[in-house]
Amino acid sequence: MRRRFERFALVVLVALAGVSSAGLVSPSEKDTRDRMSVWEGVYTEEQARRGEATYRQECSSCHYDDLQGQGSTPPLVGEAFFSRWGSLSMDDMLTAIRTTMPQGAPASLSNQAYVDVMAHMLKVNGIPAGDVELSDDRERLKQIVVGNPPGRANQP
Amino acid sequence: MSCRVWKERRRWAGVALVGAVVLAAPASSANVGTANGQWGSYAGDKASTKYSPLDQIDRNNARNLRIAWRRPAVADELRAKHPGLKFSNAFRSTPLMVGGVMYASNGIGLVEAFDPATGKTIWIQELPGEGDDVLRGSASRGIAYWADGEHARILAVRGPYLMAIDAKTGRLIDSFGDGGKVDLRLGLAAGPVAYSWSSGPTIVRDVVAVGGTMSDNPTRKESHRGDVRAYDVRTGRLRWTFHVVPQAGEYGVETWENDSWTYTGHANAWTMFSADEELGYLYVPLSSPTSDMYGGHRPGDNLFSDSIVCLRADTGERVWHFQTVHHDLWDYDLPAAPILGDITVGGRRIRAAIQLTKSAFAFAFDRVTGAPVWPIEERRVPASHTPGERTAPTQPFPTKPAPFDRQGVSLDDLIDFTPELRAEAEEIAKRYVLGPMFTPPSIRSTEPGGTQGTLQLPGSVGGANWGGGAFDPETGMLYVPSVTGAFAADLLPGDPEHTNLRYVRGRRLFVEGPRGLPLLKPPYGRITAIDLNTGEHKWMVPNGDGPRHHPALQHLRLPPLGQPGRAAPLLTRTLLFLGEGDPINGRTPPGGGGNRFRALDKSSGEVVWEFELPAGTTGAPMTYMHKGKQYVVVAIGGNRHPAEFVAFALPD
Repeated sequence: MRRRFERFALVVLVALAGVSSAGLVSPSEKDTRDRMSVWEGVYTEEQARRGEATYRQECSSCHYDDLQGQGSTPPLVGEAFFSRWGSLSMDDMLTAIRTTMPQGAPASLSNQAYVDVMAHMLKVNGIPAGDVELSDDRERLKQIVVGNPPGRANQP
Repeated sequence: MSCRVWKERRRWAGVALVGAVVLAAPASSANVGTANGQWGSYAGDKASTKYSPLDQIDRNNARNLRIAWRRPAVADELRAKHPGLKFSNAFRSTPLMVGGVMYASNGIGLVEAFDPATGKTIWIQELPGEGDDVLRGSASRGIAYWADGEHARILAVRGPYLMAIDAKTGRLIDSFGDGGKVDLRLGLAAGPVAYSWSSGPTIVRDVVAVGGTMSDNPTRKESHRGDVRAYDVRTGRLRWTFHVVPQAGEYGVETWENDSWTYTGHANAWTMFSADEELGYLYVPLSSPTSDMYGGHRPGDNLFSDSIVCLRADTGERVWHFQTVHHDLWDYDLPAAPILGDITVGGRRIRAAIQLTKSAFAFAFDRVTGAPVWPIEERRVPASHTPGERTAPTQPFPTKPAPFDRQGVSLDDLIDFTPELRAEAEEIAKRYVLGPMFTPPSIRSTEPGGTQGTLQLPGSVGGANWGGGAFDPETGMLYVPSVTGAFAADLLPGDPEHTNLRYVRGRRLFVEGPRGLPLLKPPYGRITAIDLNTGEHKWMVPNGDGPRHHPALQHLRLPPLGQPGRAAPLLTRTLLFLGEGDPINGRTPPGGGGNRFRALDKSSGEVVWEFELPAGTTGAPMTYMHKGKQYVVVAIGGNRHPAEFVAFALPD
């Protein structure tokens, strides 16, 4: 079995994420020069608040306010979040959410609303806010990978 | 029709003498079926025919149908008590109607009983504890009814529990399991693992059988097996477990090379089952193994993934099986309960089992022996180019009936409404690998102009899906809704830091065609009628308008093109009822779903009645007769429409 993910393990040295960013990059991507990880402050508190309002309106009837889901509705927090998105970029996340959600009305929100909800998801997952909003620029989003929390050891 | 069923009909009619004979029979008296206007199982009967012989509503008067009552997905009484209660509008539930009472899984998975004439609450299942967490749940597709003399119970799965509920009061039955519940979490020895199920239990004789839903997107090659389990319907004691991945010394273990049976999981039964009470057999449709698009970690054919498996209800022993896809790379889970029906082929009466597939086949077997009704040929299929993958060289193709939907994509399958649209469609298709059905998924390139994956047809949602088909036991006709949508099967290299799968699923997008139109030729949603006595298709009609009014097509004045939604059929003496499915019910190709609910003349496919609902159908429709009136009930719900049941009947 996979080792249990420790959400708040070693939140020290956020700067380390920058140092180790090459290891966070999806192997399918080649250009790593401008890459950054979500641990480097890629959204703002204000944006996450907007995203929370949208989330409660559009998502919480299935995923619930605590993002834990139930039954066949997957949780959006903790290990479920990092194992689903760890290999992928924020653009992959936007594409996946936009093309499938809200259930029954995919692509019905603005791209801005989707990235706001993503900011809310990052916040609930213990990923710190920064000074700059997560933009809905697809090229920019491709450069931001989810990766692991800083300090997390490689899985065997 | 079996002798036992005939007796039970009489028993329900209240003939005491015959009732006594039934009570003396060793098997349960739960085989209500559609006798006396009832709807005793999820699909009407345990054979999963979705057929009722009722004919008060017929092809001549269906146009007069109107809404008789509506009932919210969660009873008003419960919502008033818990104002913060949340539930999904993806309301999968199909009610039962037995002995003048309707029973259904509600929007949070609790069972409710209500009046068939008005939809008014009779009882709501007691909450299984305190606090907000007990309010968290979602509807099951179905629940099961069982009676032993005077005492009737409802068996339902909610969260990780199989529950026995008193059909008179809604209270848990203490003598079943632990205070009325059995914990279904898998792998309890190694610590509990999440369990849930979107479908519902099947009772055959005195056992209740369950499958389970599992995540479709695993991050490890190791996973739990989705074993099928059966419990004593009276006590909740575990009676048997069927290993869907055979273990050491078991039949089929050699189809898992490199000891991959030791760690591979899934192959679960997420959809409904069927049962033959007379034979005492259970028919289970199984799904794909871990992981469903890359098989490099599980070389071999991988029994019993994607197999229809016939099991003895009393022991769980395998009677026969047939694997519909070897070494699955296409997410071709068996999506619907096998349909058990008797047909006459070449003068020979056959007790048949029909398995509909996402890949658009109707496999037909003798359900006693497993022998194919028509020959099934192993044909060569393309090999994968993905490193580490070893494609099965052949796949089974039934020689009859012909497939009920489009299979594989070539340039000929692209839209050609106008030469311009065809040219634009070809430009889009160039980005993908094309080929016949069973062309394996391909690795998505990150290079500009590189391949975006394989256009897989049917895609991961079919073909057919959980809506299954309907079978007419009087004529041997089968009616199957299915969808056509261009699905990109793409793989990405797994990042060793996050997964030990060498390749993982990509984005699996539905590929749009030019100008927001579909990429492939219509119809996009269809209904096919197949005569199972001959194996020949009788008629095929599109289901819904589809994009015929799109600006690029309007001037062509095209006929209905069909909508790729998840529609489930209901069959009566003269009519075939079905909706267009609501996209909230699960992923559908673009343009999928719609709010229309229709009755078709089953002899021709002609629409005789059409009704615009406030949302699309989310559950399978059912019908019953109560106090002289026939009703048709279906669950609906949408992204902006709170889920509810809607009942139709003719005016007084």
